[in-house]
This record gives sequence, structure tokens and C-alpha cells, in this order.
Amino acid sequence: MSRLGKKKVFEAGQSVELNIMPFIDVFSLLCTFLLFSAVFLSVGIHFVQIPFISNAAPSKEEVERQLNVSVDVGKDNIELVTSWSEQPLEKKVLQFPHAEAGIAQLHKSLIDLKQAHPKVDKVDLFLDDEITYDQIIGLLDQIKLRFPEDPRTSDLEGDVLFPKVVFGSVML
Amino acid sequence: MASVSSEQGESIPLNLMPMLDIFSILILFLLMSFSTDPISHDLHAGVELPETAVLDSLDETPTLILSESEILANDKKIVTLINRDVEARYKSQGAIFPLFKELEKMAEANRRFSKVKTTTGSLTMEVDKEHRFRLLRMVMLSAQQADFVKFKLMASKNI
Repeated sequence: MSRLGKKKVFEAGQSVELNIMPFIDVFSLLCTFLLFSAVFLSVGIHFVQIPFISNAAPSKEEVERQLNVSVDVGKDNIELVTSWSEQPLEKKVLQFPHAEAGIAQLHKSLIDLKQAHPKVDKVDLFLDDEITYDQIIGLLDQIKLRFPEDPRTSDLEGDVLFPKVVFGSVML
Repeated sequence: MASVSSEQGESIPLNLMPMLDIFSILILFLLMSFSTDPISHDLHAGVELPETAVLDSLDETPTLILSESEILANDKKIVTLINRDVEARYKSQGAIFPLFKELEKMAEANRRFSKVKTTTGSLTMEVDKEHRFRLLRMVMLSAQQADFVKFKLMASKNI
């Protein structure tokens, strides 16, 4: 008979002693391995672009009249500027204080803008030299993302608001 | 049950069940928090990342690190920062000259090994949250002159 097939018969009421040491050994090793391989910080990334000069020949196709959106961030206030690429330009400027409430208003205005012009996917971002990286990431969140509490409409779905952000102030 | 013997030879039983309970809970927690991100990267000691709500995960190790006191490209120290700024002797046309030279080499290598000869790819940047845009602009200008125009800015996801 094979070894596995052997059965030890215990009498009723007899106390059986379990050897739990191998079990504890396995648990200890597993704990150590998981503690070493654990990542307690999850890193995300924001894609951004800077302007560049291309040598490519200009396209001969007729370019559609498009809406240009730019966000100009100063130390004290933020300006949201919209204008058309061709006449009539219909330039509009909205100003917000550079504070938590102002940034929330900017986000709301960007949502309204996206609802009115769903095809627009690019924002030019102009930043003051004194703006910190922390503030830049906060602004990118407000420009690029839609949050769960934001209004949902049939023509505006997904988690992305304006996926393309160009740092307009990075120019020689 | 596991037991230990005292000097007098009497056996004292050890109750290992609470320890097993703790182990089980700990393993369960560690397995739940086990990262499924495509890349695992340890942050530089001099960098504290800002928080973001973005969902895109880090997909490559950072090329540029802007820590509190230095700029590193591919883990090689390029310049030392004094008061979060680059020394005037390293600045040239709004860019950082040693960084531009390093990135130019990188761009050349990228072009050589890339199937599309015109592209240089993007730069992943690990930046300390207190750095000003002034420094970031200089770094981006250096990259622009070396033909890098796309960037991936790292931030800590609020989970």
C-alpha cells in the first residue's frame, strides 16, 4: 500500500497533537517576501508637451475654424482665454482668483466649455515662474480630468476632459 | 499544542493561535496591497512628489530626477542646485548646458535604436513638489533643444 493510503485510527476522545511549526515557517517566509516586495506608493503620470518648430511642409488641406483654449496662471489670478483661429475671433477672457475656490471655478468653466465644444481636446498652459510643481500638478488635474462629482451628459463621457496640455511658456 | 519545558522539567503549553491570526491578517493585507503596476520604482531620497488624481500609471523608470539639491539624468549627477536654482555658469540661452549635452547624447541613442528615426521619445521626470516652474522651464528648454518635446510628469496617486 502506498504511504498516502495509510490511515491512522484514533480512538474516541483521544487528543491529537497537530504540528503547526511548518505552517508558521511558511507564513513567516511569505510575510517577509511580501513585506520586501510591497509598494506603498503608487505613482501616476501626466502627459504634457512643449511647443516645437517642425520642418514639415504646411498642409494644403483647408483648415477648419477651431477654438483655441489657453489657461494663463499668475501668482494671484488665473485667466481662461478662448478665441477662434479665424475671424470673427470672439475672444473671451474669464478671470479667477488663484485659490482653491478659483481653481474649482476654472474646472467648472472648463467642463462648460467642453460641453459646448466637445471636439476641443487641447489647452495651452502658460505658467508664472514662481508656480510650484505641486500647484502645476493640481492645475493639470483640473484641466485634464473629470471627477466623479462632475456632471455627466451623453456627449461628454469618460474620465478625461482635455487630454492634450501644451506648456506654452516653454519657448526660447 | 506547542509547549516549552521549564528548568524543573514541567511542560508549559504555548497558545500559538493569536500569532497565527495576526499572521493571517498581515498576509491578507499584504496580498491585497501587492502592486500590479507595470513598474516598481523607488523614489529618490531628495524628492517628495505632489498628489494627483490621474489614473495613468508609471510605465518606465524616470530619466530625469530633479531632487531638492541636484539634477540627475539616468542616475548620473548633472548639476548641483543651490537654493533650488542652477548656478549661473551652467545656464545658457535659458537652458542648462550640461543637461542639454547629456540629453543630446540620449536623443542620439534613442534615434539610433528606434525604428522611427525622427522620434526621440518622451522624458519621464521625477520632480520635487517644491520646485518652481522657473527650474522646470530651464530643464524643458534643455530637453527641447535636444529634440525632446513630450514629457511624463510623475506624481503620487491618492489611493
